[in-house]
Amino acid sequence: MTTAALIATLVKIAVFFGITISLAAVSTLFERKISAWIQQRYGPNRVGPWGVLQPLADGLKFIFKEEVAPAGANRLLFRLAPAMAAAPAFMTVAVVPFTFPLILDGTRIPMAIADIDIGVLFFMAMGSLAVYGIMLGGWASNNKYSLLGGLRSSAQMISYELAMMVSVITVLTLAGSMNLTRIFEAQIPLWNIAVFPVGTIAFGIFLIAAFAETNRHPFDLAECETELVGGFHTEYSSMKFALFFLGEYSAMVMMSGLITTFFLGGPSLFGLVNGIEDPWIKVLAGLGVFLAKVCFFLFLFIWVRWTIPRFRWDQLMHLGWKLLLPLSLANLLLAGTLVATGVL
Amino acid sequence: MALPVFLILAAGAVFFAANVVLRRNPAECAVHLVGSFFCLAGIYLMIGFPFLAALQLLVYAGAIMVLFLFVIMLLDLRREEPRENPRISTIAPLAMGLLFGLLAVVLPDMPVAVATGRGAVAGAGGAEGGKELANYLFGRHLLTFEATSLLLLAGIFGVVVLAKRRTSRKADLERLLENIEAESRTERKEPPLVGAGSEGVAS
Repeated sequence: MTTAALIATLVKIAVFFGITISLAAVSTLFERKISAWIQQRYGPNRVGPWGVLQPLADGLKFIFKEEVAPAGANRLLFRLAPAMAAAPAFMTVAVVPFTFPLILDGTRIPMAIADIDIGVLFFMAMGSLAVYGIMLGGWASNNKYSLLGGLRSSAQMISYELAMMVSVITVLTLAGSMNLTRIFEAQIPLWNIAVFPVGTIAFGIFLIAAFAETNRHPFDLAECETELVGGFHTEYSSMKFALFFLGEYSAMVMMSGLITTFFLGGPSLFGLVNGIEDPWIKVLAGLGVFLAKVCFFLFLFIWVRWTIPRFRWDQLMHLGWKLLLPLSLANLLLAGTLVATGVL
Repeated sequence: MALPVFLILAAGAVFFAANVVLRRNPAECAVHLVGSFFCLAGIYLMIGFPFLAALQLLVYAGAIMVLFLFVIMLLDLRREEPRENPRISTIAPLAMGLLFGLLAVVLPDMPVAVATGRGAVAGAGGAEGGKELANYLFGRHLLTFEATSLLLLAGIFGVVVLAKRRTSRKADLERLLENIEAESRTERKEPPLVGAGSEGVAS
């Protein structure tokens, strides 16, 4: 690896990781603001103008809180679990292309930290690891509510992962590549969401599964307050709890980024951004478009949370196994047939 | 650059693998096994098999071990007691060590020795590598590949047979009824569904 490539990679890590963490922090503020608007309240408005410093205040408060570990908790796993919950979301940042590749003097710098050919597999692998933190956190707390929350969440994430991955395979069939940059470049003429019917159905399944995978409403049975106190994080306090939260919001940001890349053409906007001559302006405009799409999905995550009531446990399993999985398999079959016969 | 990274990964893999055997708490064993898988995936990446590395994480760490943990939590396994028969616990590791030594001697000469990079799938990097790997598995080694799946099936049958050794349903039912009666007679103080603490460690 040359020095220039190393510097480029370090800059990309700093910028993209910074963007993800900042978006996660900002979305905690907007979670409260939007929930307040939906419930006709003001929301946080004391810290700074319009309450914009609320995430900072929260962070400070978390740092200065006392850490409590319940008696009989498994020490190693109790401490490890929050990190294991946050790490997969952070690691997914590595493969998400945030904008168009930068072309300087004929050299092409892809705008994902690691522009690898197995990007989709990497995302799937990280997605399947996300369940550990919640599961182990619930188990190690030595609390029956935590344990039930952990069990629920593992069952739920395994169930919805299937449908999600099959719908991703549909996207792979359409794009013919597992490289995320090539997947969005293949959509510049036509976004996958508009490839009727296969792309649209795959988008719907992926979106629903994304809610389940991030443990968000209406699928947040792992922390269902009415039945399980706080679910898997009942016993967690201070920064350990904050890490669970950061992990959840980073996972939301990453899921939004992946939905954008898989189905909404990533940074492309009806060929407008793609046609820009100046390489730097093109990259920045692409980043803007990408982040705008990501923010739309973040808003959707929050909007749904405060609008739709939680599923019952058997309804959740019914939806995942009896509806989404067969539908996604049929959709994949259809997509394969259409691509093989040259219709798409 | 490559050697120190490899040494760290290899040391990690051995450390985690040893902990899987040495730890007494089943859940901790499972987590250490995941760590070992991670180090192995790192080694696969280093020798140019990103496809295999991703599959390792996806299938083993992401799917199989999650199910293992799920079962461990549901069964509420206790802390494993030391073996009663000390002779077995000394002979078994020795035999395993000998077998592994034998493998280390024999394996480099075999065609599938991917670790040496001399195998037929040496170029299996990248997305194209997936194709190569698929051709290799479903072409030249189809028979071995399918035989492995038969082996797994046999394993499943074996487990079912072992777990259901008392075949008579009537006896099972009678035992169940006895248990229920015994439970209703002796009032239990602690419900069995608790997490880490149930192993009886006061930490």
